[in-house]
Amino acid sequence: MVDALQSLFGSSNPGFLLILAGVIAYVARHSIARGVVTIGGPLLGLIALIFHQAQGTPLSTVEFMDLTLALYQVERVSIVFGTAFLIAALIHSIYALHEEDPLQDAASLVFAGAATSAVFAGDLMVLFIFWEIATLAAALLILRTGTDAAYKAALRFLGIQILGGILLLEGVIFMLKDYGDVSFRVLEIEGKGAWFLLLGIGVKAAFPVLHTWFQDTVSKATVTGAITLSVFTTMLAVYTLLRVFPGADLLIAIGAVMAVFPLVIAVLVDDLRRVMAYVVTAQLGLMICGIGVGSDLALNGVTAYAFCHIFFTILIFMVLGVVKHRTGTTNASELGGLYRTMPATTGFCLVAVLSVIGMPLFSGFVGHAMMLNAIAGKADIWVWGAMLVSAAAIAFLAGVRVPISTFFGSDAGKRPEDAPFSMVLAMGLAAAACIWVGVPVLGGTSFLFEFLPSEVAASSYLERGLWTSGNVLTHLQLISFAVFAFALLSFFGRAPSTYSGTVLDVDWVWRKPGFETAVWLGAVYSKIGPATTHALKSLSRKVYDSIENTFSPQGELSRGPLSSGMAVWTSVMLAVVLILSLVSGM
Amino acid sequence: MSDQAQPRDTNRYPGDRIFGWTNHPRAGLYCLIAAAVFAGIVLLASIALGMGRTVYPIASTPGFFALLGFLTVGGLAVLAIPLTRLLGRSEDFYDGKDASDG
Repeated sequence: MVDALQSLFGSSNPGFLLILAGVIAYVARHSIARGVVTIGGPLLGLIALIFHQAQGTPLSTVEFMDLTLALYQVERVSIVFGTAFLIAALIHSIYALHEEDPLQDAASLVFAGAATSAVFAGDLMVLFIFWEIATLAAALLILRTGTDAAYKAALRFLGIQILGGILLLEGVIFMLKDYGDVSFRVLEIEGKGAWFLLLGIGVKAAFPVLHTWFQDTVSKATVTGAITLSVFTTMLAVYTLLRVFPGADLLIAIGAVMAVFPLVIAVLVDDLRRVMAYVVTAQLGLMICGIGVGSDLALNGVTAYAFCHIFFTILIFMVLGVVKHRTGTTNASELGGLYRTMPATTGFCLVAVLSVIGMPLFSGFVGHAMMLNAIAGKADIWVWGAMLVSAAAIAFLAGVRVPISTFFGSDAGKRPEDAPFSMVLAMGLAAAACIWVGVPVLGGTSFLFEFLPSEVAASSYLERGLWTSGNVLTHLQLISFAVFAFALLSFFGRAPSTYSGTVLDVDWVWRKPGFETAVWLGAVYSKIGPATTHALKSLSRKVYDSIENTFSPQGELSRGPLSSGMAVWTSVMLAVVLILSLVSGM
Repeated sequence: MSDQAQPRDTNRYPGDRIFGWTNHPRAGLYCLIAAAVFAGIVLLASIALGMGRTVYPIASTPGFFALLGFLTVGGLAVLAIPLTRLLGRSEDFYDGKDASDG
């Protein structure tokens, strides 16, 4: 039986099965058949992964333009990311069962399948190809919302992602030129190829200044589209950075900025899906910083945190998706008191936010504690401090604001039904994953640690480093005092409120100082421009006139005795030179 | 908020059985007290048990992480005021149609 399954699936990239399921889902018009396909695809993908034939060697290759492309190669780290992607795709398919939309089902599966295929790609060219397929599928999920805002967001998304893709491809081509192949290898950030790769991945990883596409699209995508968008693209970027740039010092600084800067803006934002997109960006910063640190503990931490991150992120976006589905909005100012009629969703929201903030006994703690331990001592103290500040701010934004604004707080008078059964089931599975990994006695933590990149470091940390009083109390202090500060501020009516209008992001730079500088330069030019032009014109006229007066046929050199005597003097000079030459030659 | 105030909508909705207490008129005060008690217990535990082996000396200072958590949220509350003026625009700022209400 095992041999039969291994020969059937052993060399099939699990992502291909998802893409195939997506194509079939699009043509399957009967909802039950489509449901079977959308759930069956990820399940088959998981079976294929379980029965993969070997690790560290290409299991499927194809010849393309003198290149041997490795379509399927399993590594320890890709097992963790791939398993999380496949389970996330399965949960998403269950969640989306209530939707009667073949296009969304297909686009979601192709998106997840392309991301999974990229994780199991044996080289960077295959990764690039599947990444771009994922981008196209993701754009469909934004467009499917059908609003003018979503249309514009999809175009912006395509623009920035295609730019990222071109940079990535350029980097791959440079690698081919420099090394003769496009296989994964650890690079230093030096040389054009490495810089192109870093920038290309950076666009997709939502690096500072390049991050706005993420908040833009997640807040405007469909209910189910936001769930896939929230994890696949960014986690694929984390995976790629982990494979190509571990230990690159620059990533520590980039990660530190990412961990704090988005949260400052998120404080003002009213749309809770957008708030969570900022929180996700900050958590990406933590992971990118860990990749920059590059130690065994740090890389294990990044992998473990990415695995947990995928589940708690899809859970919180599923919760907000239910809210959007039932009430038509995720704006904090229009919500409140939903616990009354949505107790199940409220419960799942609490599990999600406790995981997001890294509360002990929930999944977020496992990876977060490991990352903090890895960063401490290996990076500057300000980087470590930035990670702590980020954790406290996330405790406030995700841990307090999201549940209070949505389910508790002032009653907005909305009394929607709770989530449909398929959504409850999907949220239940994701919540179970968050608890399974978080509670040590349930075995999820040790299961996850078995697959981390450095097995020895992982088992040693699990035995002696994870559940220490220092780690638990660090997290409990940050969380409890952040919550206490919010409770105190709220009691005195001083809690920061959201801004219900548009909140500018990094675009403030070119909309405010950039625009004002351009206006100022215009005003300056309008004043000094004519005078400068006049002065330059008169100066050039004077120079021209003076040249003309001197050298033209009617000029000074052509007139008077000097002009008529010039020929005589020239003849005399030539004669002297001729005589001197003759004399010296004798 | 009088002492006679009673919870509203008690058990009218399915969620009231579990979360109905949050609708109590004094729920805010109770939450504040609960948060203060929990934070106090955590702080006392960190002083009593210590923070274990720390890389940076400041991390072993009693209440360091507590202070950082408190100041971060306080700082965000203060920062939100000028930031609203700096970054806030009207809802129809992006061409009148591009508000984030996908």
